[in-house]
Amino acid sequence: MTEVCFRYLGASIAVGLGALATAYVQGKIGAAAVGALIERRELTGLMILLLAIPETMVILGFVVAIMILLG
Amino acid sequence: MIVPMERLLVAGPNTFVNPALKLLHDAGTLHVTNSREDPFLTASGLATGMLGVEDEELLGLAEPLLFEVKSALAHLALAHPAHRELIAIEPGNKDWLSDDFREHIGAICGEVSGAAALKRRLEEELKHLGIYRRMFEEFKPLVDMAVSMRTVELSGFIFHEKAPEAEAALENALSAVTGGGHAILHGGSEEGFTALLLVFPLAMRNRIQNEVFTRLTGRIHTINIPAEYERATFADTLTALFERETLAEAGAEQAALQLREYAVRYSALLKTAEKGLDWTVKRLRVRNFLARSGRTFWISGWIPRGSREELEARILREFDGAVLVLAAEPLPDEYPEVPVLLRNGRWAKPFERLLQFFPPPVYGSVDPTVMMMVFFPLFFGLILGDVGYAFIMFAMALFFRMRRTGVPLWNDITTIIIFCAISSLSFGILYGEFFGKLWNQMGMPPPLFDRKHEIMVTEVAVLALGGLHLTVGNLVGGVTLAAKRYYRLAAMNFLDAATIWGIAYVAFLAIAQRPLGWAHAGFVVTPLSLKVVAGGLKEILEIPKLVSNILSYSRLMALGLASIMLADVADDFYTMSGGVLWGIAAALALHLVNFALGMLSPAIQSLRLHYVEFFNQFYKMGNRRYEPFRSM
Repeated sequence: MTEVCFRYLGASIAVGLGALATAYVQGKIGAAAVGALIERRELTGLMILLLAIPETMVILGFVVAIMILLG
Repeated sequence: MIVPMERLLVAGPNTFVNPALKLLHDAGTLHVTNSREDPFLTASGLATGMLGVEDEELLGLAEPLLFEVKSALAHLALAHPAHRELIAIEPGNKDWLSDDFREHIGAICGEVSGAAALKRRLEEELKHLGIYRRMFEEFKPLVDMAVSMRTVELSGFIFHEKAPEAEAALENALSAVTGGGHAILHGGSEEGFTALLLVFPLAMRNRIQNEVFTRLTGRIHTINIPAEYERATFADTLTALFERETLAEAGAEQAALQLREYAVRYSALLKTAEKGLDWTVKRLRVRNFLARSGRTFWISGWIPRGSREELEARILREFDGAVLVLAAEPLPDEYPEVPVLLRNGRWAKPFERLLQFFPPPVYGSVDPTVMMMVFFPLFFGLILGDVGYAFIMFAMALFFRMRRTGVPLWNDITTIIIFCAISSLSFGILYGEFFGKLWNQMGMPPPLFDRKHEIMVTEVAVLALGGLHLTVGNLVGGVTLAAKRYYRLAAMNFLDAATIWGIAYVAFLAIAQRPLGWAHAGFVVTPLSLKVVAGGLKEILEIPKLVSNILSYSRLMALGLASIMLADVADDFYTMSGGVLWGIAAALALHLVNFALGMLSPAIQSLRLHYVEFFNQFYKMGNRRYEPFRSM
């Protein structure tokens, strides 16, 4: 029972912290992107991509969580 | 591929400068460069720029007029989209800067801009009036009744909802005067503001004005109705607001109709003027790029190999040898200056659009378009992988292709969608997914594997694909560097590829639970040691980067899993509802959301994997795009 609890706890921390970090960074990039887009609309595509970059953190967290749960 | 370029120098007597420019413009193949940046022309001591005072004046007239025309066309395109793709009449040799023409076009642009500005202003006003109406409209019957009674007075306020103390202060002050003989009614709320209506006896109006409103000034913060709508009484103010809204609505509609009429009447003329003015501006700007001596002019630029012969023959024919053309292959030192033109086959060409978010690749390096044509749809399909969604994509692509026939942008986008749909269809069949689990409910097992339950299998598959993708990048980078004789850097790229596969092999053994010995570490340690020998100890730090690059491809699995889970939840809505209407509606709505996400997210993530992980292995960017001197 305890092991199962810790597994779920570990998995949720792996995804949760990754998601929080991603959200924080995306918030920062998003704010800067809006500022840049007011000046140069043609950067829209690049800005969407920049927003996608921090998602690596939550995706890696997700992979770790899957490995913990299925481990 | 990156089209090979040749440097071209066109020289002739000053008297031929205008015909030569006209010929180059009509040929439309020469990318003209600024003679100030040309080492040969600057070293030869020639003067640069052939823009006289008169030309500068003309440019000063043409540029603002072109801007006005473009702006008017943008307004007209919004007002009447059908006229957006209207083709300009060939402008010919008209004097686009004559007084009459400028006056005529200027007047048209003024009319269009005026109507557009009026429409914008009225729409903005309507938006504000709508807010007031929604806040106060429920008071209207009461206000009408109070006016007919002639014994009570009304006053309207708008408070910020975050300042409830203001309402309390008002209530207290009113009670002190009326002794409770008043009422405060709440109206609608809008964007954090709420409307209040005060009702009190008409006889107390002056006292309330002096003892309540005057005293509370500065203590309660209200939002005032704009001064232009303020009338002597609140009832009149409300009436004025509602009447103004009706008028503004009619005015905005009238302005929109006017713009549509202008679009029908002026679009063709303005498009022609745009083309003519564009040519005028380009010709004048290019004159500023030329070099000259007392009797000769010199034009330098770049031309795609294969187009030079035709241009040379045309110049010879036209000027009978009086204008010379000199051509040379660019030297490696000149590569950073060479404008880049990509040329790909019919199917790969649309994928050049995906590179437009970045500066073009350096001349002499590799054009990744064909590789993107293979891997972008592959990744997209791997994530979406659903037969039902793929059919919707096909339908969408066909719809847009038929609606926007002949528009290059839409042709390219629909081609990319078709590629992605084919890939989604293929993976949908392999995963056994049709709008989520409908495939399964039809009693058919997934032909390859069920990615929802076999998560680790999917993970290993996407990591292997990631390894392959990075290896292709490394090999392309290695071969390009080797061709330029940067052998050490090329070797590093090849060793990166070897390290990736070494890691993959060891990981495979571990997952398959095969016995692992120290000897197996050699598959990773050997290429790494060679990298350290070639590049120093810092190369050890590259391992985490390499591993994280491969792990990054996990997003293909993660997003795919999210997509199928959402589709399954949508199907569950239908099953749980027992097939009633709301269940079908909820299922369809969620499938729609999932499809919208499924179009956006896989595209962004696939692009990201290319731009960040893949391009990092070989893509060098920074050159200018090839922009030939020709009409728009």
